Amino acid sequence: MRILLVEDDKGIVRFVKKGLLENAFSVDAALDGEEGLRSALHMKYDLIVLDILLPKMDGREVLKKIRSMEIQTPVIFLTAKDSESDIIKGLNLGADDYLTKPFSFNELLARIHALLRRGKTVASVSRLQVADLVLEVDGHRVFRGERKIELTPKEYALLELFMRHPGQIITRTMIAEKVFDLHFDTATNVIDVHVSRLRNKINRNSEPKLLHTVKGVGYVLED
Amino acid sequence: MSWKIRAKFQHRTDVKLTLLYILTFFLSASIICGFLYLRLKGQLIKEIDRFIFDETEELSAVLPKDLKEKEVPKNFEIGVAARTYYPIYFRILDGEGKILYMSAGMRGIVYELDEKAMANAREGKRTREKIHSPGRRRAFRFITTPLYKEGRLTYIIQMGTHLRFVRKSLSVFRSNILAALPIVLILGSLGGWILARRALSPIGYIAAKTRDITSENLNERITPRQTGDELDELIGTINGMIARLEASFRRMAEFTADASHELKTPICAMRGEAEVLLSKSRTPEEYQEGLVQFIERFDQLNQMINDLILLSKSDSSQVELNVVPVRLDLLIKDICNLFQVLAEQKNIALDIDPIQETVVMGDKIRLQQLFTNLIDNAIKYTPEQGMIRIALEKDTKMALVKVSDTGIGISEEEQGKIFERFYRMDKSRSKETGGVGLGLSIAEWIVHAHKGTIGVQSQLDKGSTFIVTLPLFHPEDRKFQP
Repeated sequence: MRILLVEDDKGIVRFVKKGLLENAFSVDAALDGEEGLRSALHMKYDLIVLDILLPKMDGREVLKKIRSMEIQTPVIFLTAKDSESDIIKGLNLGADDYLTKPFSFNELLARIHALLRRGKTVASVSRLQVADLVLEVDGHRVFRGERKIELTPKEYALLELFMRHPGQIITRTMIAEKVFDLHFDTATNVIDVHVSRLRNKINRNSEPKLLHTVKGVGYVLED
Repeated sequence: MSWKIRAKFQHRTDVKLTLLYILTFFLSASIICGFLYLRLKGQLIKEIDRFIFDETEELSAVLPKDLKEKEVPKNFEIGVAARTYYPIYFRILDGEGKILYMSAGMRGIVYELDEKAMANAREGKRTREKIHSPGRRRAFRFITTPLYKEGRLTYIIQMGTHLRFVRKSLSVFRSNILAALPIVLILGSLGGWILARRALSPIGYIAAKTRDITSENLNERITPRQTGDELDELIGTINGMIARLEASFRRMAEFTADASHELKTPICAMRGEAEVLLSKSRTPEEYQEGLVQFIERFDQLNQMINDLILLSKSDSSQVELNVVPVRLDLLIKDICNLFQVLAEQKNIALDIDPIQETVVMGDKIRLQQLFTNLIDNAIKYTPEQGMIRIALEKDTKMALVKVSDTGIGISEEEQGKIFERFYRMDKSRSKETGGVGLGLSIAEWIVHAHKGTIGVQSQLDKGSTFIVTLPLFHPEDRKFQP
């Protein structure tokens, strides 16, 4: 998997590159918009991470040019401005996702995974399984081995999110956005409480323990 | 007064005003003089006419029925034709317009009896005419008078005199006016200049004073002149503005001080932790633990910076609200569902009163943030076994949301301050509840940006009720601009 990172801040380039390399991606970094555009046009990438404020050429401009050349590589926008109009503009131009700075690396990684997977997952899976935990999408039912687990609608949505991304770190922000439709940062620990209740329900009397906390980052569903 | 030197001469207000005075003065003087001139002219002509009437009367009185004898007009002519100032010229015509008699002076004047005068005579009307005879410099005034005797037009008398003295009087009048007008204009413009300077001199004072006030000496004010006029009102307005500036400068300074304090504390803690962690070699678990704490503190810091950015943007109205019709009842239910687990952890009953469908115009994300802040606060400040009630009511214009808790309450004195930035009710107690005291400021901003109101009713140790009103959505007012 090859990723193009267009970002002018060397500090950010350093940690993103390091992190992605450790996660078995190969990474090319471009330090300004023109260089980024050149790379994007000449090499085939699986995904592009694109900053908006760039020297020489604006990130939006880069995206516009890339899309006008019929290159449909998924693009994640990085933006320091968290004004909504910026985000909407970016998405309208054909970006697939966005992150506001300062962002957590794991947040970025999780979104990269989600985007790379997007094309591959079969559209309608009727059954999701991790270890002996089974989620029947059609019947909205969840089983751990033989034991049926009763979940509230929100817990069910939360579990489905985890089950669709097994082994991947799901951050609090992703949970807030995808499950609770909350698009702002909250200082509350309400997300953690929801996750820990879900964990209690699926892990009760069962081994192995499935839903783990990744400290300071989020949660992961794996055995 | 340097303010005067700065502006170009023709752009200076006093010059403009004076020019305006002069123009007005000149126009009105011209109109008045012109009017007087015409009146005088009319009056003089009328005088002449009366004089001619008298003479005509005299002549007609002595005129016999049959003008065979020329004695009568001849005698009359001797009496009037030799006058020095107003010699009378006349002729007598019969009903058909044939000349019966003509005075000697009349012979030199080319003057035809025209159709109109004849027609007037037949109707018994007089005709007044001003005659310019070719070869004669002066104009003449003639009046044609028909004479009826026994119902029959017997004679037409045309009698007149020259207008030399009328012209002379008028030309004297004209030259008087032309002589007087410049003097009046000069005096008027001088007066106008002085008036303009007088009226504008306080403005120079105000300008100079206002220029001297900078961010350094915002406590100073312009002294009013105690005249109670418009300029004093202006001074009052400027002073009010300076006062508001001063207040906002002070708020900003306090805010900066608070913000830097709140930012410094966690940074200091982060640095300290890192230093301690590095001071000797430790197990990987210890490093991991330290770094996790680092990230958690960082997240708190980031949250606070985001809040600060939001608030400072809201101050300069940079935040764009994405205003659409929002189902407030569903939004509140969702947030209650979200927080139900937190309430249960503390054994707090979180209940919503039955609510009906309510649509407001608003930014969904900001409204979520608003009620998240309020409900989160309610849970934080309510002890175990407590109760939180949420009610949504509406009237024709506003939706009213009440968030009531049985928490620690807010003293009356503090109720006014809780919406201030960085205000924390009890500094020692709130450390454990987290937050830096920006939540309610943000809530207040969100409500105001939606043209709503927010207030609190509270009793210490009994609980608090936050009351939010938001304008309802009416399908017809889609033009709503926050």
